[in-house]
Amino acid sequence: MSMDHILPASAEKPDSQFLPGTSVQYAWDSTSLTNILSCPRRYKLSIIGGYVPRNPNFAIALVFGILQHKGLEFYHVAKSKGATHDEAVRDACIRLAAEPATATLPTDEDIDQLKEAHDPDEDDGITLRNSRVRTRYYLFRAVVWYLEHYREDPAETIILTSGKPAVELSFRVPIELDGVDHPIILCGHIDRGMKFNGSIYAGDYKTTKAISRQFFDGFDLSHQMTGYTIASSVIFDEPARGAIIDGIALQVGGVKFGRHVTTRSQGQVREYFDLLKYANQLAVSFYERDFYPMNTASCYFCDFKQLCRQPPEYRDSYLKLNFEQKRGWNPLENR
Amino acid sequence: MSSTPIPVEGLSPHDDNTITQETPQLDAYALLTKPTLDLSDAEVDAIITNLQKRRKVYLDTGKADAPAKEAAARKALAEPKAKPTAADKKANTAALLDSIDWKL
Repeated sequence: MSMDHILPASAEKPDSQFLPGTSVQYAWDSTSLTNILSCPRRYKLSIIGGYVPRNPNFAIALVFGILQHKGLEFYHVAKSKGATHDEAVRDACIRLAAEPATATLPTDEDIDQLKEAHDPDEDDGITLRNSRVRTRYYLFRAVVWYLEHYREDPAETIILTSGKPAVELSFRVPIELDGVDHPIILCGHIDRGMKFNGSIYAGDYKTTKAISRQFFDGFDLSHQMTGYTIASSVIFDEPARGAIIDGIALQVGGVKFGRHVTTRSQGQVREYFDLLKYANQLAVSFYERDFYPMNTASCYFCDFKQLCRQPPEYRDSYLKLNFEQKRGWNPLENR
Repeated sequence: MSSTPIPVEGLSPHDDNTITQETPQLDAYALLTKPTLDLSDAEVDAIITNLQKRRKVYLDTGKADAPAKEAAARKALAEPKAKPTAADKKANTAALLDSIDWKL
């Protein structure tokens, strides 16, 4: 299996995800889709504007997530080179400890200091409570316990023709949509290509507070998992059945794990293409009108909630004070 | 340092319900809360072994994995509070007597 035609050769500065001279997006990933479908204002701020909250808990969550994925990637890479389970766990932990970002994760003492300066009224989305279970100790515990839990994993990691394991795969899949006169590219990042009971699945790690039926049921409707199913079929050159979600519940007193298999039919795949087409129409329409309205039904978990609460005349200064403008979310970026 | 096992009531029995003065050197929590994270390979091995042991206890007993509480208990053991001296007792009694409203 080769995926050279899909994956960019290097992690150079990515192309823009917008059509030249516009903010009409043509390269779509699940984050962009979720944003434009849930709230045009949020889409403009986070995807087009690249604003992220100046919230230490947000940064901690991001770094922790990246490192947790890296730890599991290190394990699968070592295994693909012939290491035993125990050797691969050891290699993963040694490499994880050597990652410069690992030392930037907080300890309990740091969290206590954050707590002292914590204003509960300013809690928005990702909070101090999230950071409590994202210390260095919790990172290593999550990785080691996960690997112990799946010591005898019935799902296999797909090995690419290059001999490398199919882990942490950034993909770009060109899609042709009827009635859309510009190219559309489906982008994303598959944590682990898996073979389970003879079928291909896209594996995805999801951290959560608790493993529950409700948590897993959400993935049966998730457009992210449909997109990953489509991409997996192209990448692995064989129809993929769906996605496997490995839920990792980070709790103060332990880590719980659960696995959920979600499948996609041809009809669901066709429905996804309609959704992509609709998202494209929205992007064009918002751009042409230069109007990105708030959808106040989506505010509950939104990082921009406090910003939108401000009268329009104060929003610019509030934005500069409480948010940081990064390069912007770019689905074409190779992780 | 003494290597005599010290039974600690209320601790998760990660080390047969005992800890020793040397334990922190093998304890994942202690190693991962060092100010600088320059871990040797041997220390990483110790972290893995300790975390695997902790997982077993968590699964076998259902007890929460509480390394921060254990670290606090160790610290308390390492720095036992000084017993009050006769002078302290006298001062405490005097303070208590002063605090009583005798008019009642």
